[in-house]
Amino acid sequence: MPDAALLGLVVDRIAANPPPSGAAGLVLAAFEGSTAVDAVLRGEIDPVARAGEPSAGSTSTAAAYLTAIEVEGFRGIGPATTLTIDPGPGLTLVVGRNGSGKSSFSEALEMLLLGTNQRWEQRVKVWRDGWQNLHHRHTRVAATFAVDGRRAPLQVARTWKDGAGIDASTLSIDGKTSSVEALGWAQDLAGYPPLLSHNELEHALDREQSKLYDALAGILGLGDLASAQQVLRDARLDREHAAKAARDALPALRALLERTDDERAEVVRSALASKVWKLDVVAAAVDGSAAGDERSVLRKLHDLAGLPVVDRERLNATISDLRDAHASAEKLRGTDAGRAHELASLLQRALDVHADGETCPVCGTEGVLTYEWRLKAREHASELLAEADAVRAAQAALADTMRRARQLIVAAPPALRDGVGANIDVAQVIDLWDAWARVSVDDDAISMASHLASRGPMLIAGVAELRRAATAERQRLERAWRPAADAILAWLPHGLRARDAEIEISRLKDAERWLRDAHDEIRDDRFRPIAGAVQENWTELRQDSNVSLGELRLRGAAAQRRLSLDVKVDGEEGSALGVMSQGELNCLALSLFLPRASMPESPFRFVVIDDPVQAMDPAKVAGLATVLARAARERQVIVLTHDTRLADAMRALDIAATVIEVVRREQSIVELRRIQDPVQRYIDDAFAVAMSRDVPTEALRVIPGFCRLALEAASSLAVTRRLLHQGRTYADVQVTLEKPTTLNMWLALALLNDAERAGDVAGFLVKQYPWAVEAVKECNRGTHSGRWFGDVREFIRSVERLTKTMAADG
Amino acid sequence: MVDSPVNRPADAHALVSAARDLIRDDAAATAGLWPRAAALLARQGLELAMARLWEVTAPGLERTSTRCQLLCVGDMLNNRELGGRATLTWYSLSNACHHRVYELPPTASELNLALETVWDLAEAVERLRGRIRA
Repeated sequence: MPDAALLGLVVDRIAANPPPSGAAGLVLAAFEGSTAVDAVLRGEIDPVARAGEPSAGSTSTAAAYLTAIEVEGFRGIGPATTLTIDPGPGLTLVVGRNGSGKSSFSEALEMLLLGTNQRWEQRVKVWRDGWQNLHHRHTRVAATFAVDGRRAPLQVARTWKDGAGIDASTLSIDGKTSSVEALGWAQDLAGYPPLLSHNELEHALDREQSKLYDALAGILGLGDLASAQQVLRDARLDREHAAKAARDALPALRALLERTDDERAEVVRSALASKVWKLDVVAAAVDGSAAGDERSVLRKLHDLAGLPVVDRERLNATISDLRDAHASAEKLRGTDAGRAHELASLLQRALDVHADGETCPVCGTEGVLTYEWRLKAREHASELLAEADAVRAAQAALADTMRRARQLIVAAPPALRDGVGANIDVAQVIDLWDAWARVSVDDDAISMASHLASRGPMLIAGVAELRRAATAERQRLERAWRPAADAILAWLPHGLRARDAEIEISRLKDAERWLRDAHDEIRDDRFRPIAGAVQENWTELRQDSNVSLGELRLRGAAAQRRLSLDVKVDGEEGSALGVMSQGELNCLALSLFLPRASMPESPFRFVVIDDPVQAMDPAKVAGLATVLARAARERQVIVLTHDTRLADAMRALDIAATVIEVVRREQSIVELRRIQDPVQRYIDDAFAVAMSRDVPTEALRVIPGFCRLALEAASSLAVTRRLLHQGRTYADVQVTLEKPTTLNMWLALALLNDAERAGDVAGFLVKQYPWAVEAVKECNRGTHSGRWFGDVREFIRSVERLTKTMAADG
Repeated sequence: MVDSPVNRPADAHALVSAARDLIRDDAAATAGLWPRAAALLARQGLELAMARLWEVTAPGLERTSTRCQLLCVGDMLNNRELGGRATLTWYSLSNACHHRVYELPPTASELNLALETVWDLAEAVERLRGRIRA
């Protein structure tokens, strides 16, 4: 049931006494549940903004008073008997001997509302078998309630089929079969039980402290707060477990990493060694994309595996090209491309200058530069040009081939030298490469070719082998790394969760702490008035007990929750509970639980208390009467007792109370009757016997006895009133009332103020109330003889008159 | 006018029966008052039985205090046990017959027990009277 008032209090407190940053949202979310808390931690919602919204109000159930309890065939009651009570605040005493059936009424109510009886819960089968009345086996329990807002009374009944077991009852509400839940009282019955049994009271303070706390805290309506605290606590524990799980897994992981021979293992180990884990480093180490820095072995191996080297075909091609080019150039070596060219150009010029039949300009020979000469000359010139070109070409080709060959001679890549320390042998290849690279600028083609031919293949082979070795080593390392990598990958999510959790835990702790303080404050606030009521009750009840009750507080939480009672004996603090008598403990228990039953939130305006007087001494009975009377101002208080002291105290202290007497005949026939006035009751009984036609003759003999009882009762009452009026304590009065044993002693005490002056009573009566003289004598004699003198009604009336006189004069 | 039973013979056995009837009968007229009424009758029966005992064994003893009489019953009947029971019964019945501040009227079972004792006493007295006459 959402409690708007409670939430409102929390919101107010947040405004007045703000929690550490980030915690306010958590506190409010806790009221909504664990999903809300998770959402706040993720940053998704902000309940502080919504705090202003009113939440659904709690519904309260209508007030109910008891008007009647009907019992048939249940426990001590045989034929159907009804206890009627006036609905409304007030005190009713149901007085009867143990076994008279009075407790059956409260047990019936308990059975009706709870379907069970606390007295039997812990008992063995034999006791439970006694739930039905022995004489009357048809069982029905019912109660009628006057409920606010309902014109007709609410009738709730439980019936059993003949022969059915205790658990097999049918519940009906207003005559229609229904269930207990339909009453809507389940929660209230748990929080404000309106039935207090002697058993409960006797053992209330024996119970574990946590149960006592729960019994009292239950009425404070803090359920939602406690739930919210639990939500926060669960959320925190959740995360603490995650963090712990991650931390617990670390030693195994570290051991694995230590066994793993890989530099990445070392990286991860150091990343995890610090208090704050470097989880991004760990992630990078595992995901393989970062091969580490240049100095890492893996990087070296990687580079070595990719070491570039001259292509074999290209090498061979180059070598043969070199040789060919050289050969070509050699073949044309005799020729001089320049001279040929010049000759060709000379011839060309001659050809240009030439005309047929001309004389050679050079040597003067006539007629040589003929047409034939021209053709030959032209051919010759072409040949010469071609020669020149060929030579140039061959030289160019040679140069080109040499250039290409030099291109092949590159220095060893840095990766090769850097590869030292990568666990494989690079030295040999370094040497090979160095040899390869050693070539002079002046080398001609042939030496170049032989250089290439001799060094090249070895280098190629060496590098190939190196590459293979590097690859193999890399694979070996990867294989060794895999299990570690898998382990790290498996752990990593936990580690990430744990790291996030650390922050969340700290926020949750803040929220928890704040909420706990808020809870304690609100709880103390709400409990204070109850504590006050308890102390008031105790003050009344303790009378002359030397036990004093100081502060009363609910303290602690979870397993340490307890009710702390500041109890002092003779002013000394101590474990007073251990020193108190059972009677005092009962009083204290009653002080504690009566306020609980009187909470305004409870729909039950009645409380039924079964036998609270056991083990109480007379002084405390007066206190009890006062406490009950105070409770009865607001509530319908029904007290079952076997002790007339309570009724007597009520009358003596002029506390208004209805007294109902319960007697049980044979065959479990139970009779109830209201006793307005005990004195008048005896007079009425005397008249009843005298007037009735149904009583046997012998029964008439009791009339004087009843008259005497009336006089004794009248005396007792008069004395009590007078002494109390004089300021004597109730305890004193009780002591005084124990003295008289005969009628004359009683009358002496009442009329002459001295029980010892029994002999003077007759004389006094003759003087003051002469009309009563005979009647008194007959009372004395007649109780034993069973006879009286004269008309019976006159006799009884005289007695009645005397009782009224004593009441007036007293 | 209801006659005082002055002239009616008093008989312990009759009183016991009457008391038993009061307890057992579910009569509206006696509702609620039967415990004390039965107690009164029972005590009267007991005292009657004792009076009849002194009649034939120690005339005049009935004028002493009941306490004194009770002390003699056991010896007179030569039955200490019955004497003791009678004494206890008389005292408990007296409690019911007097207004005591703290006490409620006796229960049916208590009364039945008392009535048994009264009956036994009455029987014992009659037997003795029979023997003495004989």
